[in-house]
Order: sequence, then structure tokens, then C-alpha cells
Amino acid sequence: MSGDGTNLMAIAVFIGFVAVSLAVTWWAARRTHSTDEFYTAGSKITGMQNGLALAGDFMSAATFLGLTGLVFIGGSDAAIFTLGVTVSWAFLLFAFADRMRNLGRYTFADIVAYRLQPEPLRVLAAVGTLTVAIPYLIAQMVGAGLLIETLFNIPYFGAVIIVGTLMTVYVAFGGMLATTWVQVIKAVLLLSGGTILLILALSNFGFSLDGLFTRAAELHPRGAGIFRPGGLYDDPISVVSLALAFICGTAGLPHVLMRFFTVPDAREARRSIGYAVLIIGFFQFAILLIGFAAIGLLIGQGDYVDEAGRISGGANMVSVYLARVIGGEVFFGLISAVAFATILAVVAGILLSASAAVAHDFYAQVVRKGDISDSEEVRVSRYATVVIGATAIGLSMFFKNMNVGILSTIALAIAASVNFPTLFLALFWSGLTTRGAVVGGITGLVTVVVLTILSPVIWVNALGNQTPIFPYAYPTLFSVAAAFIVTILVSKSDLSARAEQERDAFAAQLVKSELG
Amino acid sequence: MLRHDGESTSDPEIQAALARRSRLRWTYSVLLIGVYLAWAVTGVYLPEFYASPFLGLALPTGIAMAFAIIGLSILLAALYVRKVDRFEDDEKRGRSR
Repeated sequence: MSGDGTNLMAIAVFIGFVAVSLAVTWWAARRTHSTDEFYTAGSKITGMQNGLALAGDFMSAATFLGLTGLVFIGGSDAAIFTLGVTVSWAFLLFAFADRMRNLGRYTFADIVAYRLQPEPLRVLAAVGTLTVAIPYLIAQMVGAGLLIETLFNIPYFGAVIIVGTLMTVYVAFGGMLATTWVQVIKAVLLLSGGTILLILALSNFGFSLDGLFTRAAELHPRGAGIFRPGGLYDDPISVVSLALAFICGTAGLPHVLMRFFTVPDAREARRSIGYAVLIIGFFQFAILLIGFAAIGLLIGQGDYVDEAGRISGGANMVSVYLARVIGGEVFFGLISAVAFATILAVVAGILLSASAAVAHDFYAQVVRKGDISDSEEVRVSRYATVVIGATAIGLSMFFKNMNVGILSTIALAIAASVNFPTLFLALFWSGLTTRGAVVGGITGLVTVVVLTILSPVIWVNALGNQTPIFPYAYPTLFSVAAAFIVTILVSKSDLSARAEQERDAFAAQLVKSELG
Repeated sequence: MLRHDGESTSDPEIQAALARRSRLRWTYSVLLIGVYLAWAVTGVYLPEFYASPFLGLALPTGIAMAFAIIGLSILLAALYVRKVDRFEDDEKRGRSR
């Protein structure tokens, strides 16, 4: 499976990345003492840097490995995913960038709690953060484990422990400053690697899109059928549900929302998401082309993909196999190491958001009611980081065979159904009350979890039942609607004096959120 | 949306600033999400059209449209950043006058 050249290149790039990232962590640790510094790098990151880091948060193992694999298997259907990613980031810019930056400090719970009762909403936000962060962490770590297993012949178990330990070190010592710089370095590496892969792939077809798509249709077992939408999803409900998972889900991802606070003001926040949309758009364009090119270049290459389109090692391996076939052993090593670096950077960001939820939202603000010294809160965040890191390592052992793209789509569905409705209504609807937000948030969480378990993804594929109880792969359409409806109805029926004050406080919040 | 006019919120300049941003935000959001959803749902009903060669090339029409929508996202994002920056600059100038 692996020649000496492969291992040398991959190991060299990988060790180089780890060395640089640990040096960055050491540098950052000496500048990270206060809670401001730990959670937001003192809000001193520039728009361009934060844009790269934001794009890096999304250009993960799930997108680079999972989505390329999904194009390979599902053809045109995968474009619903790649497009959803791009559109959702633009929506995040239009709807949230200014208001988030102007109202918040460390976590998105700051915004929800701005004019509502802080304790219940912070507990809800902490639960919403953890239920998103844990599946997301698992998705990324499974990708990393499989990659290292294939590449270095290190067992899956060992690989997961390496990733888990490194991410914990970055976050526990270097906080947001280290997390951001590791993410920026990786984003540059991944963009360069992805662009070279795209150019090499296109050069195999003489830079003719015509040649690329003709060849894909000739070789794929479904022939030109891969260009027809409907192979993966053939009903409008599933399609809209999936699209909503992206649009609302991205705007509910805690580690993404947390990045709004790392820049000095709303102007830099807008700029950073503008850059992120540009980078992510280009990257999704590249992934679509790379995926279709991989069909033409890999099928029938005995070692990787047989005539029937079955991929050895699973669909997540498509990008790295393609790198080997078109770029040789050295490029294969390079892309594998970059893909691995990608995962390390992404899990660090997610882990930081989870530890902020536990240490800041839950412990400091609810348990201690804000009566906690700065240095103690930082210490608690570091402990929380270690505990959550260890939990993620443990859980990753059970999910080895899931498509990482699908697993992170489940995390997105939870983000869309729990965090997004509360946050959106807190920002845009004067009528929201504490009671409505809490009951609606719980409704979203319960609905999305129950429907996901009863859906084909878990009920049939994971639990081995014959037919799903809930027929659609993605519950988002129903769970988001349920959360919105319940939140609005309960808020409207809340006639307490407290609720009246909360509605009155909206006017002042609106001005501050838009104009700073 | 405003239920009560506090001192600052009834200021017509502030009201105008809020309205400008709101119009831009919802126009762009509805346009982009609408185009995306329309593209995704239409694919369910017109799969053959989406699979057909775009302008006689082997590039499928559905994928060509996907590329165009990625381009539209980037264009609208760039315009939004520029416009809100300009709102802020104009409002600052207006206040210091």
C-alpha cells in the first residue's frame, strides 16, 4: 500500500506542521492569560486572518474528503451540499455579522441572554453547543483516524489518540490565539494543495471540461445518470430539508459564531466573512470539479476503485487516491498530510467552543453567577478542554464506519434546530421572551434528535432495521419549523411582567446591534 | 417592529440607518436563498434537463447553474461588505457635519 517515498513525504510535511503548530501554541500560550485572550484572542485578529480562519473552520475533513467522495458516488446530487455551504456563508454575512459582533463578547449565548433572563438561556446554549460540538468532533476525528490508518499504517485507535491529544494541547495552552493561527496556516496549506490537485486533474483532460465530463459519464457505473439529480434524494421534502440544514445550520455552529468576537469591530467582522465566502466559494467549485475528475481518473484503477465504482477504504479516500494517481507518491504524501493538518485545526476550533460553553456559559455565568475571578475562569476552561477532548476520543472509537460528510450533516441539523431559531429570533423579533426561547429550544433539540434516530441514517443504516419510521434522511425542515412555531407561540402567550420588559428592551438592543 | 419609541430610537436619522440595512439584508438574503432553493427543488422535477449538456458541451446544465450560483454568492457578499461600509462612512460624515 505504501512505498518509502510516500511515507517520507507525508511524514515530513506532517511533522513539519505539528512542529510549527506547537511552536505557535507555545508563542500563543505566553500571550494568553485573561478570559478575553483565551476565548477571543483579545479581539485583535484582523479581518483577513479571521476570514482565512473562518474558511478553515468549514474546509474540514468533512468537506475536502467527504464531499469529494459524495460527488464521486452521488454525482450532481452532491452539488446540493457544495452549493448549500457557499450560500449559507453569504447568508451568515447578511443576517448575523454586524449584530453578532456588536452585541456579543465570548459566545453566542451572550446575544441570546442580552435582554432575556441569562441563566436558563445560557444552560440551553451550553447544551446546544455540546450537542453540536460532540458529533462534529467525532466526524472530524473519524476522518483523521481513517486517513492515518491508510497512510502510515498506524492503527485507527492510535491515530485518533494522536489527533485528540494535539487538539487538546493547542486549545488548553494556546486558547483562541493558537487555534486561529493553526487554522490560518492550515487554510493556506489546504487552499494551495486543493488548487494544485484541481490543476493537475484538469491537465489530465487537456483543461477541457468537455473531456472531463464525457470521461466521467463513460466510466461511472450509472453512466450519464450521475448528472441526473435524484440518485441520493428524489423528493422535494428531503432536498429542502437538506438545504435548510446548511443555511440555518451554519448560522448555528458555535465555533463559527465564536469567531465573530475575535476581530475588533463590526466592520472587520463583515470583512472577515466576505473573505470567507470568497475562499469557500472557490473551494466548493474546486471540489465539484475534482469529484467528477476523480470518476474519470480512478474507476478501473484496480488498487483504488473497481469497475463497479467500489472504493477501497471508503468514499472519504477519493481525494487522496486521486492525488496519488495524478501526482505520484510525493504529491500523495503532501495531500494526505494536508488533509490531516486540516482535521487537527478544525477539531481545535470546535473543542474551544465546547469548553467555552462549559466553562463560561455554564460554570462561570450560571453556577457561579458571574462571581469568579478571571484567572480561575481560564483555569476552568483549560480543565473543561481536557475532559471534552478525552470524551471525544472515546466516542470516536464507535463511529469508524460512518461517512464523515453525513455525520457532520447531523451536527448541522442540530445546530439549525436548536441554536439558530433562538439566536435568529433574539436578534430579529421583539416579541421573544425567556419562556418562549427555552421551551422552543428544547422542542428543537428533542425533535431533531428523535427524528434523526428514527430516520434511515440511524434506524436502518446504523441499527439494522428494515424500514425507517421517519422516511426522510434529514429532519431539519420539521425540527426547525417546530422550534420556530413553539418559540413564537409560547412567547406570545407569555403575559408576565418580565416578558413585557423583555419585549420593551428590544428597541435599544436593535439600535446597538446595528450601529454599535 | 419597534414597540416603544425611546429617546434614541425615535431619531429619524437612526431610523433611516436601520431601514437601509434592513432593506439590503433581506433583499440579498431572499434573492440568494430563493435562487438556491429554486435550483435544488427544480432538479427533482426536471432531472433530464439538469443532466443535458450545457450549450452543447458535456458540462451538465445543473452543474453549470451550480457554478453560477457560487459566483452569485461571492458577488453579493462583496457588494454587501462595500455597501454597509459606505453606509457607515456616510453616517459618520453626516454626524460630524
